[in-house]
Amino acid sequence: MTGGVGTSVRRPDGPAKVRGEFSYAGDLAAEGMLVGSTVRSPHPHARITGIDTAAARAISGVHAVLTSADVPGDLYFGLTLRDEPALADGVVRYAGEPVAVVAAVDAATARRAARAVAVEYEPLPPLTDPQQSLTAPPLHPDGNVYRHVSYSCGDPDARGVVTVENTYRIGMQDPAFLAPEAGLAWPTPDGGVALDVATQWLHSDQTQIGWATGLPPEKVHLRLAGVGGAFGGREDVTLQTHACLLALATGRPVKFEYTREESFLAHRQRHPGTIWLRHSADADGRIVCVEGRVLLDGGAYASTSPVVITNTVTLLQGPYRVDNGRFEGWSVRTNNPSCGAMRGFGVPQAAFAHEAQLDALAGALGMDPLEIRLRNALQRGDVATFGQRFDAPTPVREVIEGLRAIPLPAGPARRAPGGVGRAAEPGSVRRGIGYAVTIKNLAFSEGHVDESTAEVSLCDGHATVHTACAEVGQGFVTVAEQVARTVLGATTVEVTQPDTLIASAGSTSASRQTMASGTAVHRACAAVRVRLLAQVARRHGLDAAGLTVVDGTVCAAGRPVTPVAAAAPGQTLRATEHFQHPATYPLGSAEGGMYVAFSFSAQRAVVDVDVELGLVSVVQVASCQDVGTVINPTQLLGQIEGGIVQGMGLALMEEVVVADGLITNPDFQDYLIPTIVDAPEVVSTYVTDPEPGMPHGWKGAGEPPLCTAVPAVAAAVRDATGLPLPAVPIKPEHVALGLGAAPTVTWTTPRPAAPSRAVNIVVDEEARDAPGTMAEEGAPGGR
Amino acid sequence: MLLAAPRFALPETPEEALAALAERPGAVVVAGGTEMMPDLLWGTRSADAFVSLRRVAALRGVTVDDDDLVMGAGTPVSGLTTAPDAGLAAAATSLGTPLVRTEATIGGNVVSALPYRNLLPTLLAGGARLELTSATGVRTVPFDGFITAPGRTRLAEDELLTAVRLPRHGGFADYVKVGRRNAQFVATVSAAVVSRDGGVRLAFGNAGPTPLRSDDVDAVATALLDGRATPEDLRAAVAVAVDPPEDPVASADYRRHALGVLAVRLVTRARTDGGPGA
Amino acid sequence: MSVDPLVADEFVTFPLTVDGVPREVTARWSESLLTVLRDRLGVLGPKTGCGHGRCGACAVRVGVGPDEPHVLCACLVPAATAVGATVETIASLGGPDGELSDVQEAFLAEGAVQCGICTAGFVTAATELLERHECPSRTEIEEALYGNLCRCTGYGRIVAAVESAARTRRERKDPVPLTTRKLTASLRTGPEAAE
Repeated sequence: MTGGVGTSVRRPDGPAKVRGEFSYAGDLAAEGMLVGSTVRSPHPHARITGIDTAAARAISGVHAVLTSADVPGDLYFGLTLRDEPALADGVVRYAGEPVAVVAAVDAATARRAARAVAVEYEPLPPLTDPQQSLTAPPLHPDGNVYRHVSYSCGDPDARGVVTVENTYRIGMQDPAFLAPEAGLAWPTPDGGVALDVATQWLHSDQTQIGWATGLPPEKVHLRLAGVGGAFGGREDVTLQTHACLLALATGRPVKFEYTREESFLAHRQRHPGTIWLRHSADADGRIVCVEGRVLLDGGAYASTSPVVITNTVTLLQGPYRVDNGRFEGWSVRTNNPSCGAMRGFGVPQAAFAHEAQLDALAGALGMDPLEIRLRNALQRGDVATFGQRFDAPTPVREVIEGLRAIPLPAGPARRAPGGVGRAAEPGSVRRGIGYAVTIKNLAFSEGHVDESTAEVSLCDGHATVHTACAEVGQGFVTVAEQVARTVLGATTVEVTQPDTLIASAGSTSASRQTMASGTAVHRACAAVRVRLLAQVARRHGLDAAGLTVVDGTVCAAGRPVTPVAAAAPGQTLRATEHFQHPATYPLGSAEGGMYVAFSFSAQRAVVDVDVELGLVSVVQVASCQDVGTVINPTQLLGQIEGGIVQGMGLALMEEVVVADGLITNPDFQDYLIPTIVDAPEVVSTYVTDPEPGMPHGWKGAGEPPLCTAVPAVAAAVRDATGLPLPAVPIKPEHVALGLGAAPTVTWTTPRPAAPSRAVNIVVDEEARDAPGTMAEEGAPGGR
Repeated sequence: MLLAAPRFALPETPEEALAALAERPGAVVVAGGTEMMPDLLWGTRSADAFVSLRRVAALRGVTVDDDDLVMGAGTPVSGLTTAPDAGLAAAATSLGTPLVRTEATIGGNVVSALPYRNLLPTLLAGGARLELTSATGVRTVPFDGFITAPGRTRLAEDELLTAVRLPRHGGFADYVKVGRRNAQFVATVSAAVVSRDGGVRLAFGNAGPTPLRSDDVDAVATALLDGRATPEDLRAAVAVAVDPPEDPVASADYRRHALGVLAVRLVTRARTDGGPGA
Repeated sequence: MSVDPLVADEFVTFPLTVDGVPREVTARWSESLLTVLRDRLGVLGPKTGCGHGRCGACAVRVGVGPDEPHVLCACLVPAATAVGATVETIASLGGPDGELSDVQEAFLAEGAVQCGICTAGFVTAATELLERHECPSRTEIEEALYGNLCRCTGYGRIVAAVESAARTRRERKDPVPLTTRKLTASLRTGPEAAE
């Protein structure tokens, strides 16, 4: 149907956006509004010995100055462990931690007042090395280890003929969404508070605001304000609680809008990590055993660190069959910036490492890089190292074959490495081609409930769709409209502003909203359709079971009966439906799998490298991704291209550089994201094998392209240079000066898996390996 | 004067500008604002007052006289991208972004005096001179030596940089820079060359606390142009002459290496494109 | 916003013409044009992405004095230096009665808009490019737009949109035979139409 599922429907919010009329959180204003400002710790670790707010309060135009002593409810919040104070509680644990907040008549006064808050610090030595965190005195009453994960499967001592091992390092990536955090809170007549905010997860914010304010959820009213990108970085609370506390304290509307620098300090970054991996394979390249250990730096507070580490550790196997292995990981507390969700959620780290290992194995065995991946490709029915059976389509082989079918770019590159700097000479440029294949889990995992609710109404062909799903740019609003057209035959569709008047949609993360909120919308549309058809059946004396909706028309046995728009004149038909994925279970549970679903992706990157200077130009990235079905070709392509460019950013340039606990580059002059000149040509194809249990066979698509681009681009640079490059981002000096250790290749006597060893996975409560041995046991790698 | 306030002046002539400056001690002279505004935002600089040169028409524009390309200090960088000096044009074309170049000025680039500023190696290699104007008159000083330390120059408090004079030459000139992405980047290192009458003059950006050149390097570069020296000789000479910073963007080792590579490439281009002795 | 007499010397008053409307502005002398537009005049089309001239979300077209109007980063311009300037924001780019310009239309059609916070800046810069180059190459498009950052799209659809707008403009000027147009359209459905 026109504008239905499968077509490139335009974004309903697009016209306002191209006109510059779409209202973002930063555009909010209200009568009598005050502006908030945050006093942040300049120290990564310090005891607060005194806070004097008198001078700040005395400034004309200042309405409130709040410290932790002014928080009426429970001071502590967090997405998992609730270990973070809304305002510092005697100790600051990262540079940028909020200590006090101010509300004043305008931004300049608020900033001046924030500077006038006198905080006395007694600096403490910052703990910035995650390795040391494991043995150092605890930085927090909750200890230094957010989560330790350890398990084995099969016989971890099994060996093939060749073993390769190396240590890989991944830098800290910033989500760098382009609209800094903003929101507007105001007190409500019910004694509660309302907040319009750019967020990924309204109900999580609502809960956490409720803790700090002491208000019950029904008195914390959230609405989604226009969101300028998210990529995971808006999953945690930043200004939400502060704005509400100040609105309640002053009785006035209070707006916060962070600067870019503050945005870097306030939101969570992608976890930097160190990964040691040892792969053993037989002479045909079949993986016999994989051993891996991961250390992620979670920074000062937990956020989602306990969840991210499991993603990284369990997906170290990649999209390959691994019968024998041993995997362990830690996410730990340091005085570095807090890390949490970012697109890929622990998987880009794993993917970078496992794909480097596959190439190392292929190199040792003299095999083609795609051939070794095909030989090990997971298939439906295989069992993961973490015990879950792949019981849905598992088209790893298909995405590899699909990728192989895409021709290489013809002709010379558009631009030499180094771009507008014009440093490259034709003779100094070498081309490289790299491949990567990845597995990404979709939706929430390990028992975290993944659900959404939608309310749909229909009146004279006009459908209204209401959910709490945060539109952050990904295009859920378009998908919801398409579903309403296809399922309900709606002529026009309005997707209303998400809020907390309806039940939670969960976070716009984990590639999950089409699957969760999309399915809830589908079900609500289907329920309304049942009511509609019943009415038509009554009115026309037909059997409702024989009626269908085709292209906006109710049909009986293929013959039109009435347009949907005229089927029930003046009546509003309404339905609210809930969707919840089948339950998932913690790692090691005998009851069921950890993950809802998976997506597989294969990419080939073609790069030109100025080897002497270490400059890279990514010429083309070709992609073949397992997407279930294509719901909106243009939007899907946008997800693929956008994800690839973020992934190449991590591979080549993006790194939050932290020195002694301080971010040295909290701005867009020194934190570099790809420009239009850096962006490669993208060729995108798909494997469409509908996901069972999902309407339209859809599945999430947003994260895999990023996860795959990181290793693919790195592999291409390795191919061009012959260097091992075990760290991302790859800096020019890594290439030009040949930094970074090569994998250690050992030829071994084959040792088959002992038949006595159970195939079942064994989860260890205690650390199996002393984490301090990682550097010694693993090859040095890194920088 | 288009606008005057106790802490702000928008003069229309150099004379008005000098007077406005004299009346506002501690005022910062801004031209396009593209360097000042981020510094204010980040608190890396403060200003008690602004004297803006943005509307001083006499300071905007490029003229050519017998010897020099004469660029008003307020000339926007976008006005230099087609300058009849290939080195200057290349440096202007890779400065900042298209949206910055329309307001960023050559004067601001010079007076901000940071070793990585785009135009500086070109001015140093080209033997540029600066016209400094005060109430008492104009003095002309060589650009070489004008910058004394990062952010510091020999400009007196009561002086304005009013023009930059770049000698015209029939030779070969070029500018290259290296960064960590392919557009819109601060130079990790940069280099400029002027090759004429058989001699080569090189200059380097972010190779030390100030834009840097060396007679020793130029002697080896000239020898390389003539085939009397090898690329390795030039790299070695550059490595000795430079003193690059070590920071999170790049190591000093990388910078030293890259400066040598850039020097060799520029001399090679001069030989190929400019012809020996061009 | 009112002016506290104690800090009166922080303020200056000057005229600007914004989207065709003459405005009188009172602002701090160091305030950026972006702050003046958004916070003092309530002109919200230009967006705040970085505030330091790197992202281009605040791009507007400004004519200062005798200069040819050009697109710049409003966050980098001390507003008071633009006394009497004409400022055209994204609000000046659409047609009368709210119709979209060809560039806006192309951004929508090609999927160049996701979160949209960069869109006004991109449309503004792309519009200027097409006024100067009727038929820009991909390299020329990139060179004109690398002062605008986008975090969502990876730029592919943005390049496609600018190319499409340029094509539309040329075809309007110099119509091509229908058959050629059909062929172009079918070619352009290319890879994204697979499956």
